[in-house]
Amino acid sequence: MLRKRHPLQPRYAPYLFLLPNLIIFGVFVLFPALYNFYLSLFRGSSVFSMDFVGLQNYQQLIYQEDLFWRAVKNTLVFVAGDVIATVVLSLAIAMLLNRPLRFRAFFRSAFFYPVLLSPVVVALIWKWILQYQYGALNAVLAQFGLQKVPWLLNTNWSMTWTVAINIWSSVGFYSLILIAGLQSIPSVLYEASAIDGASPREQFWNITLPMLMPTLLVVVILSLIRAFQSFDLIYVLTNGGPGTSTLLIVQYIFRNAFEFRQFGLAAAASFLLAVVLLILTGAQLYLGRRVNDAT
Amino acid sequence: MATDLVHSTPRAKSRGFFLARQGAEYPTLSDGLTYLSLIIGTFIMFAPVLWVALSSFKTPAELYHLPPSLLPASLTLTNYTEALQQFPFLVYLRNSIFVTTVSTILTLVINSMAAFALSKYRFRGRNALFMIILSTLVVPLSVIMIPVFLVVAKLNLTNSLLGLIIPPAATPTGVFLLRQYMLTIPDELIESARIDGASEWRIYWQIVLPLAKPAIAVLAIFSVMWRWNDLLWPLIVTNRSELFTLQIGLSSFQGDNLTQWQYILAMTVLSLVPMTAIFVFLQKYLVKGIATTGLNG
Repeated sequence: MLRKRHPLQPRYAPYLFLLPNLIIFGVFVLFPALYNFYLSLFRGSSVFSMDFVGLQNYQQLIYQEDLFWRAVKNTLVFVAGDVIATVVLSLAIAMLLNRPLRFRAFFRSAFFYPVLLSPVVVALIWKWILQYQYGALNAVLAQFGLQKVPWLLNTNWSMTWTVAINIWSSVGFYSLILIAGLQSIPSVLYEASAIDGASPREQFWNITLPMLMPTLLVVVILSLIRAFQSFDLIYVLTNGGPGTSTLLIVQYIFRNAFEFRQFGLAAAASFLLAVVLLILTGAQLYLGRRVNDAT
Repeated sequence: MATDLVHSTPRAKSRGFFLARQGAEYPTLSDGLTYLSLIIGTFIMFAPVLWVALSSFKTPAELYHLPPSLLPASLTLTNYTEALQQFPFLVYLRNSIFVTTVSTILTLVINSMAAFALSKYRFRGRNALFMIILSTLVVPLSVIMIPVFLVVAKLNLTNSLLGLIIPPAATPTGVFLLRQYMLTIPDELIESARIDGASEWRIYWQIVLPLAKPAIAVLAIFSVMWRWNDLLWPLIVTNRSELFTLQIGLSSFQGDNLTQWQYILAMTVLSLVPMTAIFVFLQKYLVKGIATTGLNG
């Protein structure tokens, strides 16, 4: 970093360099973030003729909107399933991929491939596999003499598949973060404990897991934040259905805003979601600092 | 610290599910199980995509036949040619390529300018501005889509490719990534250039930018991926089909209409191509980006 302003350096130069980015942030992120709360206090089917209603949108959401609570409940189920399975699976995959193996580079990239695919493409790929009449999965089941299952059209299965497919498309990303974490554990710890006769299981619980905690925490919070915002994949995979069995909160907001034109109500739900995300990010910063202090 | 870890007794309940299943006491068995799980994992990751690719070459008669054949009877491209005739996929494709390219160039230029200012100048409000930029990480599009839509509408950017390109170009992750990298460029280079009479713009364009190439390459690949794969933003900004990107075009076939699957499969495969090329040729940059900064995939 430069110690002080160089005499030849124009005073305004850095501001000019920052300007394009700041204008876009200001107009398309910061202003909308504040404007959102303001909008949530109004009601009307057209954005240009809305009436001030105070906190009535929030009241309506909490006391009258069954669908809002349905979306909240679905989101919590989705988030819980997604985060728990993501942590367990990405840790398992990262530990497998961290072993000295032949073809390790190949295996590592295999798990990473779906991460690059768009949510739309991921949804369409799985829709074809889970298709009721001609899908590959049901064809395999039929070969074994089992009953076909309408996977995505059945409320018992739709959420499970939604979570599973979301994990399929993101587990490689989290494994990568965990592999980086595993590699930063000094190998001296393993060597010393092996000399002292520690079994691999003891090494896992007493070295790997504690040393990996900061990275695991990053994975938990990142996957939490992303799960709360899930939209694209489900929009194409089930569109919230069948019924409302996979309707999540962001889609609830999207529908209310752009299909039912209830901008105020949607803005109120957005604000509540933003609060949840802010708390999670705050928790990430706080816990991250505490873990860093502790180690 | 190391001795602490070694001598602490393992918890009684610690049935290390993962290691136990590996048969940790028997290295050879455990290696075998590792390979087996990795091969199964690889199959789960690749097979669905491969199946869709194979299906896309099958005739409708083959597609809607039970049990399905593994390989298409012949490599016909009918699904591809017919899909291109029946749906404006070439228009979607052109829009996607245009939006991705222009938006990525814009991202690289304005993010690197901002990163240059934040890493190589000392000025009033620098830290505050950096914090403001980082704070936008906390405000994802999904929680501000209504006001953003209204802003875009007010600026007459709805249903225009500019509306798709400009707003997402200023990425906080990009500024952060480039700033961290530029901090490692020695200040002496810049000072001596200044004494030699180089303008500030020239210092940025001819000294800092070329030196920051590795970080710019990483951001370029991420930006291509973000823009090419994006759905929510184009969905909010456009509703005219001549402005659809590939992702919206594909997503509009939500109905499980059997008569269209052969086209959906063909178009899905086409839209997979760029990402698969990145996967094959540029993967190491992505891996580096994620492992070093936790950049979102």
